[in-house]
Amino acid sequence: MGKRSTLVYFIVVLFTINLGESFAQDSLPYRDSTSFFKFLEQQEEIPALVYRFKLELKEGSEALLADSTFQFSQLDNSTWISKTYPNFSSWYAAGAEYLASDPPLLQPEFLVYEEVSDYQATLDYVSNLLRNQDIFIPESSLEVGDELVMLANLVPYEPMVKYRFHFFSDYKLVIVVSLIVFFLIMAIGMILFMVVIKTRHSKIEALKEKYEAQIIGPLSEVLFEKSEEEINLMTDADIYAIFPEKDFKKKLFKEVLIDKIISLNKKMKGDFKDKLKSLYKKFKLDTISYNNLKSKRWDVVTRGLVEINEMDVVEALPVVRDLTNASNFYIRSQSIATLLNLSEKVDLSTIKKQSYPLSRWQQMNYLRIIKYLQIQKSLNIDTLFYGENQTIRLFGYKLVRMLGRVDLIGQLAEIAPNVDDVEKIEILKTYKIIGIHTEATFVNQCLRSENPELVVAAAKASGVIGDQVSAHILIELLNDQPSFQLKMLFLDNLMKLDQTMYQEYISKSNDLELNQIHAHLIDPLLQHV
Amino acid sequence: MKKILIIEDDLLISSLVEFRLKKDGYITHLVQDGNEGTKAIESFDPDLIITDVMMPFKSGIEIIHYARKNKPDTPIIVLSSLGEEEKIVLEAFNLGVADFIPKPFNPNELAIRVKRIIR
Amino acid sequence: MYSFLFYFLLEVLGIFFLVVSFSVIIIYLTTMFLSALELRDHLRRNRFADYQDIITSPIAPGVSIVAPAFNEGQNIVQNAKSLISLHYGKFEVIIINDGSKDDTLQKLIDAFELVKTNYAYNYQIECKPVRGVYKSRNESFSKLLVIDKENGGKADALNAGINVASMEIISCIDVDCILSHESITRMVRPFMEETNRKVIAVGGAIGIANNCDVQDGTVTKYRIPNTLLGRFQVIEYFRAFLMGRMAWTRINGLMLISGAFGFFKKDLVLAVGGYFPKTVGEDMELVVRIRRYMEERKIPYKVGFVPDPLCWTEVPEDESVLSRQRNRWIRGTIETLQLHKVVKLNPRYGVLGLLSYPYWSAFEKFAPIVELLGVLYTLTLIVIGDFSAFYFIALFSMLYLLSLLVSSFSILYEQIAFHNYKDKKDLNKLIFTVLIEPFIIHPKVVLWGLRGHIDFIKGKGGWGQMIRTGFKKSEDRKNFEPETNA
Repeated sequence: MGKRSTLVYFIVVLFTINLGESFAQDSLPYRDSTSFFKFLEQQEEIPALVYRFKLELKEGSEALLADSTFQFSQLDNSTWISKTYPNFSSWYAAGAEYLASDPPLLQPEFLVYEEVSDYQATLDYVSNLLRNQDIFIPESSLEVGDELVMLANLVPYEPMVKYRFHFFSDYKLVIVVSLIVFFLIMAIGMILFMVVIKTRHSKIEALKEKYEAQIIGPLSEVLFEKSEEEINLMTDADIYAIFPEKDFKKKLFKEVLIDKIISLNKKMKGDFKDKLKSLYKKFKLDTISYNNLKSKRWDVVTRGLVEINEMDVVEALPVVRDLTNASNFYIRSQSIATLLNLSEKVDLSTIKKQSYPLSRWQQMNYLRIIKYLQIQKSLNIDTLFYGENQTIRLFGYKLVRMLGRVDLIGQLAEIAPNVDDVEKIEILKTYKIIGIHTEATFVNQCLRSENPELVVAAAKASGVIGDQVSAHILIELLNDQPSFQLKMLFLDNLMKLDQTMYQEYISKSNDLELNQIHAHLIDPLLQHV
Repeated sequence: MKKILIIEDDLLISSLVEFRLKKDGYITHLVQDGNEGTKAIESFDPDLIITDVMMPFKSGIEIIHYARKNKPDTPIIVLSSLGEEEKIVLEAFNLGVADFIPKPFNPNELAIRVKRIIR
Repeated sequence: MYSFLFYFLLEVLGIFFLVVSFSVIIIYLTTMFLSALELRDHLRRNRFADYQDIITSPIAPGVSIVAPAFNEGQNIVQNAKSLISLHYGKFEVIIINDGSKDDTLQKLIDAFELVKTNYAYNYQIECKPVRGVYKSRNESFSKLLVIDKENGGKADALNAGINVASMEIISCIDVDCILSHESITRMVRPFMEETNRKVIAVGGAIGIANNCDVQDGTVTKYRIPNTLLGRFQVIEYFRAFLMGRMAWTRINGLMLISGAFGFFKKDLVLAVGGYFPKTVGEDMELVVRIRRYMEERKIPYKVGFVPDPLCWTEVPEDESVLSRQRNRWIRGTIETLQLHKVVKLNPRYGVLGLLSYPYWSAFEKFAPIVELLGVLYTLTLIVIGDFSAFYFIALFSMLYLLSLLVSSFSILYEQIAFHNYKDKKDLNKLIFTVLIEPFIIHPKVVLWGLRGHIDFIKGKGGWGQMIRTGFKKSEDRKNFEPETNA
């Protein structure tokens, strides 16, 4: 599995990136007071920053006042301050001992631009200098000595505000990290999902193959050795003698069995078909098909319908009928096909009642079934003429010509003048293909229509079923300067309708286009068969 | 004991046919594609070939060509789905196949035809 | 001051790239999800389809196959033969000799016993002058029609063919494509399933034929190409067809149907005035224009897509040829988007305006530029020592991982849906390609894309200006006069 190892690789890489991330998140060389003091020490002097000591009079501190190195001056009654030191190290060296004593005799004081600043203000000031590159980070590595730790302890603990919410204050980091986490979760989720699907898939495939091998032999034996009556008399014990009970009770086994029986049914003929149907019921597979109809998944329902159709499970017909107006295209179309096939007395009223438009795919399926059924069952094709939606009516007109039902022309002729243009076009096609010469008047009416599409259809029909009047209308239309295509269409049909009128029209004109079309129309290679 | 080679990619059908023919006492050999088919014509040396038309790798027509050339005396029965192009059916007959059985078919009927041809 | 501007810019770009990366991740994950759903449904639907029936049914629509040929003398006869032997009832094959300088026409005349007819050619869509329309004397080639015309480019040749097409559906293909026998029946099906929405066009997936065994118009043995460039394209095509277009189909936002294999409703193609020969992206432009036409008239419609392997083509494994192809693709995209900029973010155009168009502008058109900027940005950060450079390196790594995820899933989709590449070794090689492609080939693709942008900006001739102005309405194409001189 190349994929799995790549996956591991991804994850490892991602985590390493993640770690590298958090190490490199700040640009200041100190993160707590200890390292800050270390930094100050290394910097030696920092512009406008000086250090001094503060002394509060208490026991043991008077002696210090006498120490001339500090050059104390009195601030108020009890507070004295030392001279200022520009250099952190010398300041620290002078007072370290007293800062560290218990209780401390001296307090540190930082002055920025001669103003006493607290720890935070000093820190901000230095950080600012650093950022503006007025001072630089020393190159030597930071090593925190014990004394500094002690010094730092003197500063009352207060987390550096800037870094207290460091994680959240750096929006880029937040976004990047959440992106990575989001991506990781999604990716892992999808991969896991796929792996699960894939393993399940291959497990099922393997089982199917196993079952298939188990089924083929015994099934052939039953089909050849037993008569239909014998099959109908089989008991459960007989079945378990053929297929192991343990397997037979499994859903997947039955699915494979259904699959095999149906595909055999499609390819076999004669008594084999009957035997297969008996076996289907004997194995109680028809209940599975029946239950499939109640599934929520459209493909399962459709599968159930196909099975019911193939194996003639007539008991399911009431449920099938309920599915004929389903919103899912496949359920709708398959349930009607099943109904057409299995009902005792079929007319096409189920199709007629469809509220969804009838797609051509459905029409094709129904046509095939209807063609086959026509001999056995009486179909009332004409009910479709009064169908609820137009596609159904159009299908009805199409059926008349595809099945050659000349007997229905009378009915068509009755409704034809009152339907809308799209339907008229379809009816004209039907007239033309069956060759209904009695409807020339209707053709002529359509030729006079304002709707160009209807005129085209009527012109096409006029060549076959038109009369003298049609020929005259065609010539009128030709004199109206029609487009090139229409001209060609009119001429073509005029020629078919009345050779002499056509010749006369052609000879009178010396229009270049007309000659071109004439040449085309008489070219034997361009005659459409 | 007569030997029959069955070339058919649909395992279900071929198993059924094989089962039926074995019952009649023939030795059968089953292959599932055209390439295996031509190989088996040589190695198995059948007395009768039953072949499908539409198959992976080599079509039934190619098999028939091959068999005509290399084993001109071996009769061939063609199994084919209805609706297959007439052209192919005609071509097969022109190549001198013994029989043509359209699917769907009845295996018992096939067995009878086999018996008649192989006698 | 300058330094302030510089840092400000860096900050803004930083936010920009974060947003871009985030959208890329979201979009790819959504694409994977949608395409998986669509593929699942497609496979389920396929289980219930009896394609045999379509071949002979009188209800099935007629199909005119329109195939332009330019200097195809070597293979034209073989190609035409396989086209006319496709398994379908009602269809015709129209081959347009687009002023070839070789013997393409003569070869056809000899092989199919063609004769020049008195065809009354009607220039319903403007195109270069037609010199003759040929048909065969032999009944068995009655499906074939050959048009000889002056050279005008692919779109112009297609238009010349559409003018004589007599069927309801036209199928525009590259003449050198290998088409499966089943291709028409499968591609016609979405048209036949139309109920409430008009199906305006159906696109097909393209497979890569390099190094495969082909027999009787079908690839019998799949092998991956020998070169890295070829293998990269195998994966790229999986990604494009099994993921991208499937996902767009799911939300009915498909904007591109490959010029090598696409089916259209003829009445609509005529209504919008056919292909627009002034763009190199004529295939995409036509789909967008027809979609606009439907949106402007508020007719519910659908663009279908069939992922089944039905059409194969040889892809260029040579770098210079491939670079020219990619350059053309990106120019085609830019031009199409320019021509239809009215659509951009316009709610009137539904999914097309609100999703497809913005996606194509942001992620197809500007992708090379954004990627280049991203790299430059990160380099700048590294040079000035800004530590946020690490974020961006992390982001890049994540995008790399994303590309691995997407590519491996697209291979997985192929394996689950069709399982055509059966050899384990081939699969391993593909996985290897997936791993190295982002470093070795992707930068080149970006570079070719950038060159496409540059070439578009340079734009030659007055048509460049017109393309920049764009179509105010979908039928505006008809107002463009044909060129008088070549």
